[in-house]
Amino acid sequence: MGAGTVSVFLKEGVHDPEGEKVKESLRLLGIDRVTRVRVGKLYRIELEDATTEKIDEICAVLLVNPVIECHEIMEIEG
Amino acid sequence: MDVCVLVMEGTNNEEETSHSLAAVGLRPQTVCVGELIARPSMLRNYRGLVIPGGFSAGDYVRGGAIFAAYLRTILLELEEFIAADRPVLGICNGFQVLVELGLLPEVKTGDTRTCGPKVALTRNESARFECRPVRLRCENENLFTRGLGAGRIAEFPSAHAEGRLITSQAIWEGMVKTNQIAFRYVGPNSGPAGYPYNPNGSFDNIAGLVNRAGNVLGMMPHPERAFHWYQKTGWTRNKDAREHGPGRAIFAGMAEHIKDQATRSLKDGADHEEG
Repeated sequence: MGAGTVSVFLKEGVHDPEGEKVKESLRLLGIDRVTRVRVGKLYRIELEDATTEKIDEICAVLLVNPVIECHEIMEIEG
Repeated sequence: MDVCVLVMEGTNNEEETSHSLAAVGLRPQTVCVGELIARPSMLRNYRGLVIPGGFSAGDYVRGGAIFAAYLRTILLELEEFIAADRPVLGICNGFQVLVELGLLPEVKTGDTRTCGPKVALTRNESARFECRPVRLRCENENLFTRGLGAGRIAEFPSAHAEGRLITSQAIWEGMVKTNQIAFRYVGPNSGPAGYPYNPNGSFDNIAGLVNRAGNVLGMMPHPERAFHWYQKTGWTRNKDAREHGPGRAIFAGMAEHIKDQATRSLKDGADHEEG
């Protein structure tokens, strides 16, 4: 059994309100040297024949809206 | 006059939607998306389709993404349905589904509709779930809004966390040019809406889109929650003004269109027999 790990983030230039809230919360907790936070999702997808092409296909059919998001394959196992 | 109210796990407001459809003389039938995918031909039994609001599939991945992924398997049947001038209404989460499917806005290359989402409805600028009445200006007169009329400003309840429309300049210009912006949020004195009048930070204050032919409408606010006079803000202080809520016009427009279509097809059938 193989697996692919892929991250999905908002594209550069798309405002990330969740990231800003996290940054603001960190500042309120006294961690004030954070310059930027981006919030994204990490999927670990277990499947037979895990390949880059297969993970790209999964991103295209469901995980990514290409208007605002982009993905990066972090790891392919097996 | 059967209308399909399409649901899946996490849909809500289907009861209010069905109630609104029945109140304007249509026959709503709740259909689970799984049933429709198993038998796509059943879509031909319906004169209209409504995708209600809610949090389909828990809003996992993105709002409406999983519902849309299911429906993509029967996109051809949906396109046939739309091409036959059957009305399709997506409310809130249903609007997200229509956007994820790439049905709204309608972008064509030549005569062919291009596939995939063209815009996104994503997390509100405030990063919060925003729930309150909003004021909308009707920008486009189509079968759903003919009872409101272009330029009319009306109050609708809004309740969502992912309603911020993001678009490219080119797509936006196309939407304006082809008259696909159905509703915009407006601020005090009918001026441009900043936050909180625009609850989500949507580009150009866009609250709803309609396709070129005017038979597919998606809107973030909820017409089914603005149907009766006692659903309007401040109704306890103004009990004498028993006018329907503005949401009724949307469903009534849909019913009128469906009835016109049925009458036309009966007449065509009769002409055909005579011929």
